[in-house]
Amino acid sequence: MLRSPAAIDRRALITGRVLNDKRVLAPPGGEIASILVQARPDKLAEVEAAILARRGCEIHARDARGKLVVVIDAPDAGELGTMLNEIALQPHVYSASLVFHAIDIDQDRPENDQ
Amino acid sequence: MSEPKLDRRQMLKLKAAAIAAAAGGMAAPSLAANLVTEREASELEWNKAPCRFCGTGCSVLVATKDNRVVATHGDIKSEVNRGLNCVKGYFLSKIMYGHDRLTQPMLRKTNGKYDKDGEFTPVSWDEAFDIMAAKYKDALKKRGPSGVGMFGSGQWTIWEGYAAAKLFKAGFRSNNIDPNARHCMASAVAGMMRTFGMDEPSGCYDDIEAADAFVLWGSNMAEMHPILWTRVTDRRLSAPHVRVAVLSTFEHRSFDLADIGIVFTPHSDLYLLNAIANHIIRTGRVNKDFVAAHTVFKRGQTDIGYGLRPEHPLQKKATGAAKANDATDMSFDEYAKFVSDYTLEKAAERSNVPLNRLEALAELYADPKTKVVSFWTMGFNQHTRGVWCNNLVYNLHLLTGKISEPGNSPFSLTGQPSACGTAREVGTFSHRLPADMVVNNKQHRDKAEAIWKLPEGTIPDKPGYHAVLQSRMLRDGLLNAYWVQVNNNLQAGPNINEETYPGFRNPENFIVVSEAYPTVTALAADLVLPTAMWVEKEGAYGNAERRTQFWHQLVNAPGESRSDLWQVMEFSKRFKIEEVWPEELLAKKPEYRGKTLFDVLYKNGEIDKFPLSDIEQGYANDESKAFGFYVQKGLFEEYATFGRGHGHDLAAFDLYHRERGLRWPVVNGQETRWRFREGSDPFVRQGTGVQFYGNPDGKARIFALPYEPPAESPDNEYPLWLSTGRVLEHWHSGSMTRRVPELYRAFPEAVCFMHPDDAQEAKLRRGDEVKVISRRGFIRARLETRGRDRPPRGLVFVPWFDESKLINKVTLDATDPISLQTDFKKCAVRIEKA
Repeated sequence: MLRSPAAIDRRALITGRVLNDKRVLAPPGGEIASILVQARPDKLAEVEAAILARRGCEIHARDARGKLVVVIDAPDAGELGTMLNEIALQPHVYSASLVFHAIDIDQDRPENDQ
Repeated sequence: MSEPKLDRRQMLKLKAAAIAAAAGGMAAPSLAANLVTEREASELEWNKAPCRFCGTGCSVLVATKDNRVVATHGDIKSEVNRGLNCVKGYFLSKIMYGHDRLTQPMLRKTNGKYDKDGEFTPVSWDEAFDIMAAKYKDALKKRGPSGVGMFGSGQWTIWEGYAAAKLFKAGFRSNNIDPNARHCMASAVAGMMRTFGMDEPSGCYDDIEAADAFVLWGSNMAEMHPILWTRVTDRRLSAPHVRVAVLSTFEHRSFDLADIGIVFTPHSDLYLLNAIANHIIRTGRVNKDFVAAHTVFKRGQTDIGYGLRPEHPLQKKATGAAKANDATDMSFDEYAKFVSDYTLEKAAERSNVPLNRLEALAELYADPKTKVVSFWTMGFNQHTRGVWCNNLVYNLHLLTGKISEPGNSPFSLTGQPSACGTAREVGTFSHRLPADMVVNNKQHRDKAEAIWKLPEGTIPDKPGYHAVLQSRMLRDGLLNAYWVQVNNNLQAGPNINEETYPGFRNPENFIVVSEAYPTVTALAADLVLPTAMWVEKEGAYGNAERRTQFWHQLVNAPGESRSDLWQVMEFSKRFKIEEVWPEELLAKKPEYRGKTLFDVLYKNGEIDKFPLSDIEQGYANDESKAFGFYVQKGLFEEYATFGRGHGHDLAAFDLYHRERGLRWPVVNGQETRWRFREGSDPFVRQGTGVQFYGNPDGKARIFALPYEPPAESPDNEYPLWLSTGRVLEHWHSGSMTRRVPELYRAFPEAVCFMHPDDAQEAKLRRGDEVKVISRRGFIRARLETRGRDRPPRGLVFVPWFDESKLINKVTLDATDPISLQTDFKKCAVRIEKA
């Protein structure tokens, strides 16, 4: 008999059930995203360098008034969200807004995945 | 066969870059620009939809392939987000695909029979509704309409909220329906009703680009409303004279942009607000013409209590609790005398803020040449005097006439995508009806009953149980059949240890939770109904600036999941009108005899009048297919008749599927950006200039309201303030965002943020496991003394997204007595090494 994912006892619940990361599955395939970064204009070079040092990050456009277009190519899904947050929380960064996000849709997915 | 992989990836990247450059108003590489115009021959279907998360109301383009959402990008045609998304936009393509998605109804059973202590067992929808209807009928028989209730949401679509409110208020004749927006913006609602006689902001997001100053009162926009924060940042960087003031009880990400950063002692904002008003008067900067023409002064009732159980000593002591919302007339001179006690010097002392910063803040409001936008969210609203805070900030804008014009705008931000559109406008609160009407007003009930074709006296004349009261009534066994939709109240509500959880477990009660995932609330229920999300159904949301936005169903919900709308309407078929209405009521409408609630409420000649052929070609619509008529259109059009003609006007249904939303009132196809101002609001009488027409005299109210202490303050036993709140990575209770693997890992569990000196004094170190203990309960969490949130000494901050660290076991269920919204920002705790 299949035990449903929701079958959990109430004691675990009220004492703190843990949704561990085995319960969250990364979708198959890579991901691509672009982000628009706003940063202190006088620290733009510094911010740019820190972003370029991250795996899969490319700068596709810059505006000296404090804007960067960053494209992230994440071959393994699972890094993009973290990366986005880390950039947003980088020193001298005021905001990092996601613009485009795609799961690499043409990769073969196993049958019946849900 | 697709192109070689590298090329395709490269194309996607260039396209991603081009769209981002366009959104940022930057030049794009030419190759990329070409690509975008070509929209390369991918087999993706792109459609618009508002984002599923906060109340900003960003529009996104959603790509589907093989019945699955595979890509999103910010909608460049949207006036709200202009092509941008925040990090939450990233989740949109993933939130529906967590691997523990619920796909079939589940009932707690032992040996094949319902048992409150049994295990969840898959059942059919029929079996689920059978037991649910039986339990509702039992409760109605035992206690009458007060025995049944529902807790809904600011994430309900407009028609879901409307259908549910109608089922309860008209069908079951119970006003015990309330949305989780009660935890979120009830204080903003009551504040607006008191000051303007009408709900929702006068301004809109266009104010951002016209403002000279921004003041954040208890709002961390950088993390919670990042797209609006991007616009504020843009304004600040492109116009050097612009000033940003950020007020909070702890330092957070928004302070990075602040010219005036203010960390104040919890609850002393009441002092600050009155002191600024006093400063405006004392320095002779009152806009006398505006004040004389458009305002009147009111002395508010004081000593109004804390919304605790009546037997609580604080509640017994409160002499004004029974008439908390009352006010009496006063003159400007009396008001000036009232606030004269509140000097900036005294405020500086009470709030522990340097005087020069308060002076700089006060000048932003006082200086007639500075256009100022005030933003606030939970810092104001989750406050035992939250309504007062709302009234007091309006005072500042009214005294100076800085309102209802570009750049001058007191603006309440919202946390849920349809807190305005559904919870407020549809009237899903326990005291409300659509279009700002209330259940305890006979004329309002008459109007609702006429539109709903109900006999006079159908809608009960007293407000039902509000959020916190529902939990108390569950616990006391007086509310026995309870349905929760689109919220996670066992994690989000206050004092769950003493009220909500015992209420759910009370053997007298039957708890139904409609959910997409096994949240703590779902797991504590007796019956779980699997629910369709976001673009798995046709929907409509209304954002914080009165913008109503629609989307089409783009994919099918998994397994047996059904939308909340289908659930509510289908369930109504289980009740014959004779089972829920008394004979004397039925006698006034004998033609309803023998009919079901479905027939009376939804198949009423209005909601069922639009045929399936009205559905736009190429889109699925599961509910309409099930019921045989265009359900969403019928519900929307019936609902819209409540508001048309008096300032709540919504456009025709079909228009919204074409537009990127429209801000109501929409008159002759034109939206309204600034309300109450002649020339931009068609409801303002010619020649008046400004008219606050929500009040019969056309005037706004300026309130005299004092400082009164919080319900619980630190003492020897519990020496620290606790504030709860959110973090960038997780939205609210994390039921969706915690299923995005990398975000789960980015902020896997809630921590307790504390000042390093407080930690040192308690001999604690960063990373230690500690207990956060209050009079009501405790949780364990790791201590964090660095990072993005930096509390001052004497305060700790714990986020509430983490179901394994239910901080609401610790919080107090004290509410604002007027709005009945909980204060999640203040209670007393102590920290011990675990």
